[in-house]
Amino acid sequence: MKKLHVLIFCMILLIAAVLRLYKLGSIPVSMYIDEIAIGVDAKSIAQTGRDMHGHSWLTPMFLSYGDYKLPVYIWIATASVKIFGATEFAVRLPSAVAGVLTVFLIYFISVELFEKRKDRIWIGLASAVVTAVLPWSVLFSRTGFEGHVGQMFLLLSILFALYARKRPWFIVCSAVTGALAVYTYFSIRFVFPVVLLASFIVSAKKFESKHIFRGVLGLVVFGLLLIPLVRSPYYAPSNAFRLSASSILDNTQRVLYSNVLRAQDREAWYSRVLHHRELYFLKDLITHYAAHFDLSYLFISGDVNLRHSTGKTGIMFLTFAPLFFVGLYVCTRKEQKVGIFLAVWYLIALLPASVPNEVPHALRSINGVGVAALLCGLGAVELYSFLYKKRFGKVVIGVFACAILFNIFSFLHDYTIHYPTRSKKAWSYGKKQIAQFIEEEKTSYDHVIVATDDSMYLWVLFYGNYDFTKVQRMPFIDNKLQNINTINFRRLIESDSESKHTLTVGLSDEVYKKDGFYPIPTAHSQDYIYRSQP
Amino acid sequence: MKYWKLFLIFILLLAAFLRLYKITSIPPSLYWEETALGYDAYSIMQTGKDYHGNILPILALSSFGDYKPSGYFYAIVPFMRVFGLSELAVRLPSAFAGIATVFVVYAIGSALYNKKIGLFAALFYTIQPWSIQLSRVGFETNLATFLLAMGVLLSIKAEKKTWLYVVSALFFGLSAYTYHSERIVAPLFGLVVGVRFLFSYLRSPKKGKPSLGWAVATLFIGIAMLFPILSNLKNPIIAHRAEETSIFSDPTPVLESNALRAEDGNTVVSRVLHHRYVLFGGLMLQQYVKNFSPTFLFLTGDENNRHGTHEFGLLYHVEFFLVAAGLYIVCVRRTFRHMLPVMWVAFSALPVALTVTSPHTLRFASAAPAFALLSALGIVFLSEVFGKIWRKKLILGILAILCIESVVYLHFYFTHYPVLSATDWQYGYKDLFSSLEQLKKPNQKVFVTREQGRPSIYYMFYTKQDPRYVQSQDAVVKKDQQEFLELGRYVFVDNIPPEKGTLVASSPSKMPKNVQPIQTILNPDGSVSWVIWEQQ
Repeated sequence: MKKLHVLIFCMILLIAAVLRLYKLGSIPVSMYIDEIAIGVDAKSIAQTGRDMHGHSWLTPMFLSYGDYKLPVYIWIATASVKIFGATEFAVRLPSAVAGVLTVFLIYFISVELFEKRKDRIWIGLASAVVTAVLPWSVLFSRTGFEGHVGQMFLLLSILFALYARKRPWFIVCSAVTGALAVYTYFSIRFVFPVVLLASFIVSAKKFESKHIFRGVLGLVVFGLLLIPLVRSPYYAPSNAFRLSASSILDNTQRVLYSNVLRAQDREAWYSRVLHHRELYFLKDLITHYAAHFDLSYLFISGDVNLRHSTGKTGIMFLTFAPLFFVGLYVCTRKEQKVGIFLAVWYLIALLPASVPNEVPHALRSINGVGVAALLCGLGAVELYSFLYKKRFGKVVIGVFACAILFNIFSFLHDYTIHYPTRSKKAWSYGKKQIAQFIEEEKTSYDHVIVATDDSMYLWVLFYGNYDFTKVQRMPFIDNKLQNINTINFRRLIESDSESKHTLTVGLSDEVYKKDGFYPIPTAHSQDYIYRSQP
Repeated sequence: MKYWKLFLIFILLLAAFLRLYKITSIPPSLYWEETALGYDAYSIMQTGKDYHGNILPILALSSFGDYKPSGYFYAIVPFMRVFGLSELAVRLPSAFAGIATVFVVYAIGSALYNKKIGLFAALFYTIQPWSIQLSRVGFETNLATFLLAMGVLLSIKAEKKTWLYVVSALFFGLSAYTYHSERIVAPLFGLVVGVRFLFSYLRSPKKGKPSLGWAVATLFIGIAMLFPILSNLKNPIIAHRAEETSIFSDPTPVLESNALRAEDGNTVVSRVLHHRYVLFGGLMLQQYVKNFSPTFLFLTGDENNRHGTHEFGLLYHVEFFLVAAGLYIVCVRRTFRHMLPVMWVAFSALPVALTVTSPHTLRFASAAPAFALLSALGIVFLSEVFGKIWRKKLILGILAILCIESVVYLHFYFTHYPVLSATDWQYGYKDLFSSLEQLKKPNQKVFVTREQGRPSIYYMFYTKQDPRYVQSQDAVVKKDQQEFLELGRYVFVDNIPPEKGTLVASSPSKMPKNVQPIQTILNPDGSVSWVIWEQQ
């Protein structure tokens, strides 16, 4: 690598860092329940070495609030909380760092994949800069989602798998990092094995037996490392929890439909084949897959969930669309082996996102961000060298570059100025202010009743000052706390309006009809109200 | 080489069979637009005026106040002379248009590329779910697609015989008089053809220059046909449909634009960045792009039950790979001949981009032949990628898959679809009115509810009302926009006025609990469509 390349690379990393660290913690406006739960566990472990339930930090699965979290993000968040204190910045920092590392790793993966090409360093740099600014990457780098950090470890494991082509023992590193990725985010246990085996497509000139050996070795190491996870007593309930979300695995509609059609055919033999319920399952699965190739989702408006997207940009910029399609075209025309590897990678990355019913899902398919970046990078380099030679090529390149810059700046403008207000509700805005309000006022009252929802205790624990050795001894019902000293988290009952020395906090739509309630001054939100009974 | 002709004849016979077999019973009944087309055509056939009394409308007929383009009405008239006022006459123009388009697709394919691709394209279009669905219903869009495709074919052939440009312009113009979408697509094609002609004229050597006279005649015809449309852009005769469906009638982007500018403190930059035209542009782009969603094209079609079966998309699943391969070869070759189908598809999605409902099977239908061309390009390209041994096996393999898919689709379409979608086709009106006519006493007033939509036109159609009588009543009766709310002793209501001794036709929910129905009209799946009862 020449000095110019190193300089450009450092600038790209700098841009990536700035985009991910600037006002980290305040944009997005507030933390979502999963982030707060991670924060509480991190705070607890930082204080006492045990999580909020009193279990040791060294565990393959944390109970959290009953959603069975994987440990790696919480461990990193603990270190971050220890250094920076219990703030939004600290909880989101691991993801931001992972985002910068993603840019770093994409460069090296790119150089490895295109090792035969002379312009591989430029493709690497292009892929890196694409990742640095890509909404799909930037948005998830600024939020505490384990999936994003898991994606980074997956990239690392892919890089090692690619190194293993020349230096076989890297396969073990790949397996170890793959296992680390699974300990960060659940769905990677399906993704890693497929990607590992697919990486052989890129290396092999022909099929050799040593590939089988390496593949088996990698999978065996990977499997062995997952044993603690499988043997955890939380493993079975965690699977049940994940399966309980609405997904295509629920076949009631398909069964009914299939039966109606077969009845119309008077149960003819061919009808049982043509209208087989599993055929409709396949159709549902493919339909969910296809949703992730919707051009609107990719380039125009992104995910409908405002925690996963701003709603004003696709997961890739609109101006990246030509780059993406040129990259796709070049892979089909010239780089077929790389193309097949990327296709397998992307398709398996879409699987966890395609089973549940919320499709398209930008977070569950985050493992595909590398593919998107690589294709755009390849497309950028190819398009540049194609246009450079044409008559008005340089003009077109200039105009196109300006369009891309404009696209990026208008995205940043929207993200920093308009998106925070637009996404307030999605980010549970207001709960921090409620928790702080409760913490301030609780000393003036004998009882505090919090009738908002069953997870407010997490905000109180995070933003309050608590000795976690005591918290760990508190009674958890259904993995949630209903009492913290004088604070009770429950529904209101009739007799509450008579009790003395009581502060009540509630949701305006449920309790507003009762008099004596006022909006909470610091919350800037219509949803939360309080009543003070001295 | 003679085999080509045999194949083509077989394909055309198959196309005819698939579009004509049981055309009046699958789909199970005429929906309200078909009935309106039919009765107005009958009125024009008998009297030269539509049923509101307008003499030989050229641009559009007011129908229900929705100003349908005139083309399809006039197309029905010759069929109605032969088959009388019947469902068959209403659907035949579309069916024949569909069959004819199969031949046009073959002709375009063999003119642009070679006979092999032409035959494949014709075959794909013959069995295409999109084409079958549209050809078996009196959809104006299907006739317009045929006219547009003819225009495209003739403009290709005109490169050798310049006088064909005139006929091509005629067909493009006629298509714009048949369906709203073509009012945008046809002029765009005209522009492209015109620019190409100009370039080829300027580049050709002095002696070999094509005749300018024909070009001038073409221009004249094109403008003459466009002029009535352009000069009536503000008139409801053209504008009504646009207003009803346009995305620009939605105030949301304007409100959003103002909100965004306010958040930015109304700076100059923000007034440009968040200008409502920018927001409308973004909305247009989204609507445009939705028509290319793989789910819409290959898996489920759009939400309307009259536009497709939902069991399949507009194209077969395997065509995803064929179309992708076709697009790939277009990107590799990059000649005008290869770009033409892509351009065709791109133009066809523009009208949909301007409307609120996207994706839309009918408004995008002008692209259906182009997709068949792309699939044909794809299958031929795929077969050539592999060596000679695999070539035949691959083609046979793909054709086998396509055959299986089409059998599954046709089974669903002919067996299940009529039953599942009967209510979407306003099934029941035919039996209803024949029963009402039998049951009603002379001079008895009859109330029919409007729950299933536009009952008056069904009354006129199925009782073969004399158009002259209807025209005489046009100025007198109560109407909702232009839909008749009463005719003769029949009154068409939303809520049934209590009047003793009247006969009522409604859904079971509107019948009082203590009354017994005199007759019940059932849907094919056994559910109740109408009950006829008497008011006490």
